[in-house]
Amino acid sequence: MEMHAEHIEELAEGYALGALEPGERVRVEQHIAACPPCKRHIDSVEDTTHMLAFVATPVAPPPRCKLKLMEKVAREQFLQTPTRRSRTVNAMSMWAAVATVAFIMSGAWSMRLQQQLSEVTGAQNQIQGQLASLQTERATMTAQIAQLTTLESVVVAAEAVRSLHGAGSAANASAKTYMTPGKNEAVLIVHNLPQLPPGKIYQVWVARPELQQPLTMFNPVDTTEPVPLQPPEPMDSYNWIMVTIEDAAGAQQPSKDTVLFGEL
Amino acid sequence: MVHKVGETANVDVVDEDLIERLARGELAALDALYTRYSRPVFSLALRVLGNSNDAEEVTQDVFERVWRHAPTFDAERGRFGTWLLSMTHHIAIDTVRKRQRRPQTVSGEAAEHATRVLADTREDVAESTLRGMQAEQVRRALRSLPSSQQEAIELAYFGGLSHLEIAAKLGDPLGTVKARIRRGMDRLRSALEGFGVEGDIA
Repeated sequence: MEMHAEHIEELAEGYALGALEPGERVRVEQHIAACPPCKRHIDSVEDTTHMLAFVATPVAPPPRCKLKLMEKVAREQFLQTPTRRSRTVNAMSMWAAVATVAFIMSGAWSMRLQQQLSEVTGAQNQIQGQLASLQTERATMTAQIAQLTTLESVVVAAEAVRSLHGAGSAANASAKTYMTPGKNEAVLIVHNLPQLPPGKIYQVWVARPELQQPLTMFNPVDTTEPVPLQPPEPMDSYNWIMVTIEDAAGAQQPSKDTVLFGEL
Repeated sequence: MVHKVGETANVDVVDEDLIERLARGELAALDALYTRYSRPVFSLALRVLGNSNDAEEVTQDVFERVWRHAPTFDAERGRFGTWLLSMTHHIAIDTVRKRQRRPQTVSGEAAEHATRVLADTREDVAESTLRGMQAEQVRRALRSLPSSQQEAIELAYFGGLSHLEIAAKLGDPLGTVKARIRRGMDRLRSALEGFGVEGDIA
């Protein structure tokens, strides 16, 4: 059914707003397809109508919206490119063209995927390396905490405290031994031991007239440092405790370089 | 500030240039068009659909079509902004109808409430661009209409209701509803003469 221009004008606003019944809409579309003046009128009504969009409270879409769009479009564009290229290959048979497209696509895809794979693998290796070093660090710290907790419990439970005095190159140093008679467990807490030259280490000894027993070695990082002691026999079976400076490997007989000395 | 037709032409030139580049396969042009227009597109879809997920889907759909149709986009057909929002409007209204659940029954206020919750008020304040001023102009023009005209226009545009459905909803005769919408739209047109839909002028 042909429509008169005045009827179109009557329906223009409803058309632009999308408020017409389906039959009316189809008639408007048929009319404007053949009537440029009415088309221009509808266009201008639509210009105004769609400014109503600005009445809606302005909200920016979340960033993922753009990411998804660009990702999808980029992927499709990538897939389309070889297809378009193949259309120019007129001389080839259909089969050859299909094979070419498949070849180009699979080649391009596999190259791209391989590159992605190597990037991902690289990133994974790096992360695994970081993870391993963090795990090691964590294990070290956990062990240190456990040790400190043990030392603390030994110190808290100690029934006797023995002082050590600085000597030789460490006249300002001092230390205390926290021990419990009958137990093979004690803690030595040292203060103000000087930093050692490279290749040297402090070593703890316990002794009685017939025996000089080497114990643990340490190299303090802080001015106050707890040193765990685990002598083969109970602490109170020895008469003396001392700290000497030895070569880094440690010694079986104490050197003359004693820096701390005390009675047990 | 009165915005002259001559100035819109520059905006159209920018849009046409971007579409031409997009037609040649430059995805950066789609990025630029998205930056210019994603807010009005998303805001319209959100107002019609009342929830962010659906509005996001419509927004993606609209810009995907921009990309697909860029090679055949006819600048003569009308301004890009109008074409874009018209497409947004159609898709959003279609989605609402497919859902067979009108946002009016969920209530227009609910949709607006969802929008207010999502709205970034800072951006609102910063909306002092040319388009921001235009938006204010449109809001003011719509508010200046008698409330019955305003209501009918909003039910049609944002609610996706037909003349018949609006008449049924308001309990008014069909002829009255059609006349209200025509008169209201006429007044809007004369108030907004020379304006057009535009992107952000960044």
